[in-house]
Amino acid sequence: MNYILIFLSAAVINNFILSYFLGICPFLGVSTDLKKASGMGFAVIFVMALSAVATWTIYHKILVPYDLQYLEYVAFILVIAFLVQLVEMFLKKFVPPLYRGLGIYLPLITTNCAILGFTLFMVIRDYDFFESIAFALGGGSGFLLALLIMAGIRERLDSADIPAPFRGAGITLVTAGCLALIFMGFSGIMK
Amino acid sequence: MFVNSGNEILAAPVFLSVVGGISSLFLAIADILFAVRKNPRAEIIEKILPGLNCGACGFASCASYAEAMASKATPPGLCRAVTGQGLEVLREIFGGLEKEGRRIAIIKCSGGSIEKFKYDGIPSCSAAELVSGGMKACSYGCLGFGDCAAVCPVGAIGISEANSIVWVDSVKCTGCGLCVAACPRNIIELKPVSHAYYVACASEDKSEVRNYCKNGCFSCGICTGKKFNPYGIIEMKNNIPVVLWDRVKDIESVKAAGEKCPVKVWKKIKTPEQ
Repeated sequence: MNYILIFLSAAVINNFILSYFLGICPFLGVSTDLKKASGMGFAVIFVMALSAVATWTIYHKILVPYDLQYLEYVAFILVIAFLVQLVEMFLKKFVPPLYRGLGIYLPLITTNCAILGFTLFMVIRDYDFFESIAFALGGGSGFLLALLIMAGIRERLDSADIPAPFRGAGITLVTAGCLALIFMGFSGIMK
Repeated sequence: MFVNSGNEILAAPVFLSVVGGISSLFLAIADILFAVRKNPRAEIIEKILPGLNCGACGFASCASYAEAMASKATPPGLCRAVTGQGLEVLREIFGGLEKEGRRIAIIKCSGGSIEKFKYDGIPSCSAAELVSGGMKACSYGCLGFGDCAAVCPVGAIGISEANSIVWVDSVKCTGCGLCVAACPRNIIELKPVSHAYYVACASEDKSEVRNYCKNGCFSCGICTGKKFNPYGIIEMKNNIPVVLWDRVKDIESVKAAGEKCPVKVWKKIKTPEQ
């Protein structure tokens, strides 16, 4: 039950993009069409789950015993970057279709702030190993959800009659703001 | 542990060097272990390609186009930046498989449909399409607002004043295919320029076409009939004649059949190559 709560909370209520405003860059950059958005979203889920396993282990098995918690930022970035590189090579060799599917998004999100933010939340909230994985899957799914909604709206916006001054970045930011407001409606349902 | 021994300044560099060292060691091993042997032909081709990654060939990067070309899935000539000697080398590598030449977009509509109603909305094909299937009586043809022209990166598509449909400048067109995706009617197709004749109509209606369009193909069957099509190179598919190009030995036979068309819906791609 606890895992489901953590998953739902990360996916909807405390959505990384729309509640914490983390990972805004890909949110605006890659949400131009649904295909790209879903590619990016799945890559984020994948990398989050992977980094949950790695960073939880690093933090609790190395940093805490040696009193090095203040190095968590650097250590996490280093380890995530390393792992993503490794997995990318592995996929390229053994699962080429998946490698092509994730494409450039895999290395692109290595240093994404949503990923780093997620690992730091994981530490602050003191999740255990499996809770961290549930949190990662939830956070990634929430990211995918937000990207898909945004991409769907933007595809509609393409054929809408938008006043000239709002076209492009303007209407995109207004839309993002409205979406964030809508997601604020979920807040307080659970922690 | 480090803190207590008074070595906290050393702890950070030591820890990071160890983690970084181990990581890079793993990566170095993985690089050898998981090395993907690139097609040597692809590497040669990649050197000839301009490396601009413009995407006009329809691939994400020059490297992926080089790979597709090396595996003989795609012909050279899609890249317009390669000319002269480079193109000759590419053709040689590709080994004479390239008979089709570069591809350009064609519009499968000749215009001429009457209007069902006056459309006064947003000037965009996809918007007009939403209003009871567009204002033209033909539910297959070009709506003429130029959604395709708007996405064309090289400005190769224009809108004809005379019959309010779009036309493609076959010299400028790079065959990138952006317009194919933009058209809500799906009447734009990429064709190799060597397949020079095509039917500029997409209507799957038979003789009903005559009720609303003076230029449309009404599936009379003259071009597909035995008389002008003795080798069976033209076939009627969904009430539109389709040329089976892999059976075509002499392009003149396609031309001859097309010239018999009573509504002149057979069109020729005009390019400097020919």
